[in-house]
Amino acid sequence: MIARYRFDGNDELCLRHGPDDGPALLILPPLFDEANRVRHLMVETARALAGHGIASLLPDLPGCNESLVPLDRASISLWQAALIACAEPLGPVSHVASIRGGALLDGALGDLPRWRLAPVKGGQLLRTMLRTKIASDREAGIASSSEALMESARTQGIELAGNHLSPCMIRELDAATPSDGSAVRLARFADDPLEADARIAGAPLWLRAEPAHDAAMAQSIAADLAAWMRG
Amino acid sequence: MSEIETSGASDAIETVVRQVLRDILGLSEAQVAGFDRDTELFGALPELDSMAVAGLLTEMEDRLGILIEDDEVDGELFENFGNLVDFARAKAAA
Repeated sequence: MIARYRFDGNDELCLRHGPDDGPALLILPPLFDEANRVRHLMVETARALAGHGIASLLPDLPGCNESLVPLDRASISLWQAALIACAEPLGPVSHVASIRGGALLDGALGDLPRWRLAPVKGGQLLRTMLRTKIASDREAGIASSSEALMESARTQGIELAGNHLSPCMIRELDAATPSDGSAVRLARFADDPLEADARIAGAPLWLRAEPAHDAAMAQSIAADLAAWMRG
Repeated sequence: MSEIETSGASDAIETVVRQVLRDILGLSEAQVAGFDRDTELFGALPELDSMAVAGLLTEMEDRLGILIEDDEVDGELFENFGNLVDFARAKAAA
């Protein structure tokens, strides 16, 4: 079902799957281009969760997906405020699940139990986007550097890989790290050498040059989430 | 047979570079296992655009614990698999 929530004078969309009553899982997508590459995965995961009898919310963040708000009005803190505005009419939310940069927002509703797949620091997302800018500048015969671009971006904002980022977004994103929480379940892929509480069968689709879907991965994520939520 | 040296740590770095390319390009384990020093990258793989290259560099940094400076990135680096692995090894050893 496509639900709506009101934030900052605008209607934002939110996909709601699963039973109508009872608490829901809030699903937070990765940020920027990575969100587009895993949209299919997120929706299929929400559907698979409904099959497990679990309700979920997959909101559009202001400036992203179907949102009519220009991205240059968004920031990490604004997105967190939007999540609060979303959970109020469409919740209650009992758990939060995120992929990648979604983890930078998952403390918005307080210290709820949180599930994270391959969380990432904001600075790392920024670094990748700055690299695309440096590459396109180079093709245009302009020598730019990360330091110089960041210096001007902090006061003027910047357009990186088609994303118009405000000075506020730049500063918040650069400093953002996944927050500590009392109950965080960390999920990674089977071949990831880093420590994790859960192992997911799949691949980092958010990295793909050509977007792809992995139906088995959606099932794998949903199964782990369902088991975790049922304790 | 691959000309890439297969001594302990270096081998691990080569494996990571293969895995990053696998994840970015959506290739199978078998396909990236077939990469040798002369396998052409940039130019031969149309999906390896500037966005994909940016993601590849950040993933290499993350998985190898290295820092790649802006001025170290040029066309030669992505000419073939051998160049990319040599670069990763040199950075990891630094």
